[in-house]
Amino acid sequence: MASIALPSIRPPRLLDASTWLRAILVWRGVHTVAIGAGLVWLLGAEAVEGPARIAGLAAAVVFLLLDLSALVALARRRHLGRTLSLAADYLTFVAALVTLLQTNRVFVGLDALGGTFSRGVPFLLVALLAWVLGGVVARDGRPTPVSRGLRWVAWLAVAAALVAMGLLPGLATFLARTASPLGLTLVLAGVVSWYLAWRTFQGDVGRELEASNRSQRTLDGLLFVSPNLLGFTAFFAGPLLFSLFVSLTEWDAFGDADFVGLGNYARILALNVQFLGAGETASAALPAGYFEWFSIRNMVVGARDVMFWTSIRNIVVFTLFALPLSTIPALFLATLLNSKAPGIKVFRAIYFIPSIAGVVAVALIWRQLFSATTGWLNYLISRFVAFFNGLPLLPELTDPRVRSSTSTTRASGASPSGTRPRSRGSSSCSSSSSRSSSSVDSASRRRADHGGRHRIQAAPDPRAGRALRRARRLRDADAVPVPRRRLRVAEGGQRHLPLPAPPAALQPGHRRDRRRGTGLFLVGGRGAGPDRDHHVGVFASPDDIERDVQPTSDGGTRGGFMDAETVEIDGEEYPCSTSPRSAGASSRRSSSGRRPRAIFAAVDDLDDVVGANVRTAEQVDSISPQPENFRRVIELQNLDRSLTNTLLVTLLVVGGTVLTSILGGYAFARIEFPGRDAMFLVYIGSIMVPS
Amino acid sequence: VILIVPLYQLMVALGWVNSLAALVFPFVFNAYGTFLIRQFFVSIPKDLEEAAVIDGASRWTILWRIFVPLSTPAIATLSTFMFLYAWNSFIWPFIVISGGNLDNHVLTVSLQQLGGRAADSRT
Repeated sequence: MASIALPSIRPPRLLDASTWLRAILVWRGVHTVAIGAGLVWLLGAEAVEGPARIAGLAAAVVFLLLDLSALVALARRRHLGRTLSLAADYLTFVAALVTLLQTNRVFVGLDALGGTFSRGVPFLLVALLAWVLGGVVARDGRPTPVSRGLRWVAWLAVAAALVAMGLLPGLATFLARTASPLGLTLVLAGVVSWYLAWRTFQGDVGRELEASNRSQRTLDGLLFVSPNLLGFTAFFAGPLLFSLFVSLTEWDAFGDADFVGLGNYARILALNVQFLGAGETASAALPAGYFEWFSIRNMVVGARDVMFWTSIRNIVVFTLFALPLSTIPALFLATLLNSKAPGIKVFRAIYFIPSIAGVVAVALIWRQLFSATTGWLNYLISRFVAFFNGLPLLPELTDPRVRSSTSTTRASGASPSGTRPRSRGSSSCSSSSSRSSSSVDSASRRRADHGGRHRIQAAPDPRAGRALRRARRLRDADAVPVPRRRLRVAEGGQRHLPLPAPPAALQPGHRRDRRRGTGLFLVGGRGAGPDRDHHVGVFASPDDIERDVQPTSDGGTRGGFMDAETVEIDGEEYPCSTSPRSAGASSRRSSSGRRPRAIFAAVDDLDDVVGANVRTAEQVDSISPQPENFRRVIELQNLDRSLTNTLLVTLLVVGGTVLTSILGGYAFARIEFPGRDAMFLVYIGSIMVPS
Repeated sequence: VILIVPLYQLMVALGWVNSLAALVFPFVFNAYGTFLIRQFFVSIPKDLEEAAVIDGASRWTILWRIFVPLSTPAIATLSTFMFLYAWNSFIWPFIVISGGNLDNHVLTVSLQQLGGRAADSRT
């Protein structure tokens, strides 16, 4: 590794040590007065509010304390005075620098860099390649002329990358912004305080004050640890302390916080144990404000914050299971990865690849696998459970018949009316809300928009209540009851037609709504039409039937999606309730461009229809690679920019962390200074904070 | 989790919300890396350091000429960890970068939004 060759900047030592010390004494006095004036101004200023005020006050107090104690110590010619004076000047320098960068919008300027970063990426790749090649070419770590040349190429490529990313215009902007009164003041303050700190840091000043080795080590240690320590204080310890303070208050993030001491903790931790008498309910036995957490036989444990205790229990259970389950295979894998089997390097590379795949992408894939309607894993699990419970199996999704039933338009011809319709086709009620059938009672469908869902609220219907119960049973048992109903069709007079019963046709979740992207559950038929005697499919989300369909006080239900109002059969549109089912001919795909909604199936076709409904409506003609999908997705979400942004952020985080960690780690490892071990303990403790 | 609210307020105060700066600087100074590097530095023999001191090397030189070249494995480990962390971090970018600000999205946030959007778009 090439050493980082810093150009040695040696500014002139202006005065000799003893004169410098006297000058510093005077300077500290001036500094104290200036800071004091600033503090007084800040206390009087109403304009500075909120966090800025707190930060300003804290900084002023810290500086004042540093200055005053440095004054006293320097007057007594103690070495401590040099340390404190150095600290004050160093902090002034850092504050001026950071404020300059902040007011010149350098930090926020990273966004602009994100825009041009992609131009530099090729150069960076060249640099990486040259660096790696240089390492390969060098024999036994000894640089050869070729490897030296490659190193140069790498550095040049880095420089080219910086130029390509717009370093020069960026610098010009920075300089232009600095040329303001505030900018120049900050530059002046930064340079002056830096020189003061540097001059005081020189050895001759230390010798003048008879610095011990220990004092010198203290200075070195603090200097090395300071970048990390300051950032750590600003971005970790400070927010953590603020969190601690907030936990002692009653605060909603706006307005003023009311200090409540440990009240929040007391409420979260409060537990209560009661033993139930005969016939006593848990909520009656527990004191007011407590809710049941869990109960064993007649002992019931209540908590004021059940969520907290449940999450504690969950995390304990999770840790107990996850730790051995992940550690034991990890040990074996580590041994495997460490072995010298042939091809192990390739395996290592492959093994690391999932780490690069974004967690979000991985999460999305798992969500697909566990999806209630279309997930493979979920499908396998439900089949497994059904098999063990002796329940009817779910329809075979890979059954070839399923495809044929979806892709062919059935026009089986009108069977003579009155005969039992062996309708293999699934009659579809394709609706469009704008053209809802007039036969549906307008009073029975008051439309309401709940959270963007188009929803028709129907008047209560006792049959829907039954359907809801059946739906729950279906969901719980995973079974398919097959009720056969005879319904009266108004136009057909008093004839009773054996209709394929709507609710039986669909299993939980086997209706896939492409617009919502979720499965829908056919809760049941609901009376519609003038005499409320015709069935219309009512849907609910499979996961929360209870939320979508609520029972009403008079025994009925309300809610659900009831948008199956018309059905189109052989090109003619019928209101759902009057569809001539005896014709037995329908196609769920006959109406192009409209979504099929309610889908009724004959009992005999159950598997086919259900299978057809977990698929999308488009017919799959052939399966072929679709490379333009990538282009589509990239355009859809600006993914290329996201990628370069991630690269930039990652690069900066890795580089910055390594740099500050090396400095801080060196100080903690090799420079003994007072307070080091306590500081290190705080660092280790902070690792434990869940993040 | 504990830090999200105060850190977000800090970002608001600094004006870094919706900016890549909020994704970088709070994570550059971390205790974990310092701990890792420190543990490795402790294991480097003191003799090397003493020899360098006798040759007149300053602390800075000792650090960059001796400790850093010797601790390449630790630095590589730390780099890998931080790479994984920055590459995979999701919640914080998701909170700090708003959904409409496509220019400052990182990959995780984009993918998350894509998961919802690609299903809707027809072409």
